[in-house]
Amino acid sequence: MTGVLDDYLVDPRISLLDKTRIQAQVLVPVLRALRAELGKGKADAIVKQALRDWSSQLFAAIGEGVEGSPRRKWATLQGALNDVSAREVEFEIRRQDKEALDIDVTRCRFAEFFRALGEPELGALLICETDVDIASAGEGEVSLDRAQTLMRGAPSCTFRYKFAPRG
Amino acid sequence: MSDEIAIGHLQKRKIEARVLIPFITACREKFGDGPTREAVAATIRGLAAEEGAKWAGSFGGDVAGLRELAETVWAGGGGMDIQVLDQADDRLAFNVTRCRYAEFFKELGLEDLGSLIHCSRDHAMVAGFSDDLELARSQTIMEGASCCDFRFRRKT
Repeated sequence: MTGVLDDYLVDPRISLLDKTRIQAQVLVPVLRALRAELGKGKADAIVKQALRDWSSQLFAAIGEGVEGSPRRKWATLQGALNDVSAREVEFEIRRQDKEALDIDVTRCRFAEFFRALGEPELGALLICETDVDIASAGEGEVSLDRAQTLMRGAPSCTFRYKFAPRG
Repeated sequence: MSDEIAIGHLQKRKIEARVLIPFITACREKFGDGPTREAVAATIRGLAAEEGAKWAGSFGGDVAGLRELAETVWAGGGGMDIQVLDQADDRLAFNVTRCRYAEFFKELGLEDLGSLIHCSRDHAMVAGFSDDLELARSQTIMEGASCCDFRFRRKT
């Protein structure tokens, strides 16, 4: 079975949480070795830049492969991501209409995993920024404002999507 | 961290590579190939030795266990084709005649990274697997050879 996020998931039979754990298991020791050599600030800056560039390019390419308007691209990508991440989170929809979608995520196993590991910033790069990159696929018609996240220690993630009026 | 994740070895390596590749590429641009290679290789060696010790626990840290490991884990799910040439209590020789790990890195044009983060694991893995065994390997598919010549033997 092929899906829109195959390049991101690598193997759709593996859960997103397990995929992320596998990546953390190898990335964290490499990152820690690099921190020991270069200092934390420098090493973390490199991993941030590397993972941001990689993720934004990956989702831009996936978005280009989806037919339709920016709004359609966002909905397709976000829908596919929700399919694989919904089982790991608890959330409440606060508002859902043609102008806005407000969601509060109140529990997140990704955040629990990375916070237990002591690497919430890495978790933000590997998981939270995905939503930002997917929102970019809807640029011009979809915008995301997220003031806080569980990953960074807040009691909830506050997703606030705004949709441009349909022309 | 729990690593009890039921997943083929090839898929696991691909998933790891997806995130290691941009990271290593960025490090190289910043610090050059040498220092990056050193830092990454040392860490990968440490992980591989841990994995070797874990596999010795599962398969037995002897030649028979090593063969079972190669045939079930490495080659499992079609990850590689292995041709065993010789096996005794103190040695195991096999050639890898097809390697999908190498194919994965070659498709990305990153054979050099494949050697660094995949092939270089094997010597350290053996060290973790058994105090008595060592690996000699003169060529790999990743580096362009027609086969990888794995020659494990008891240390003299």
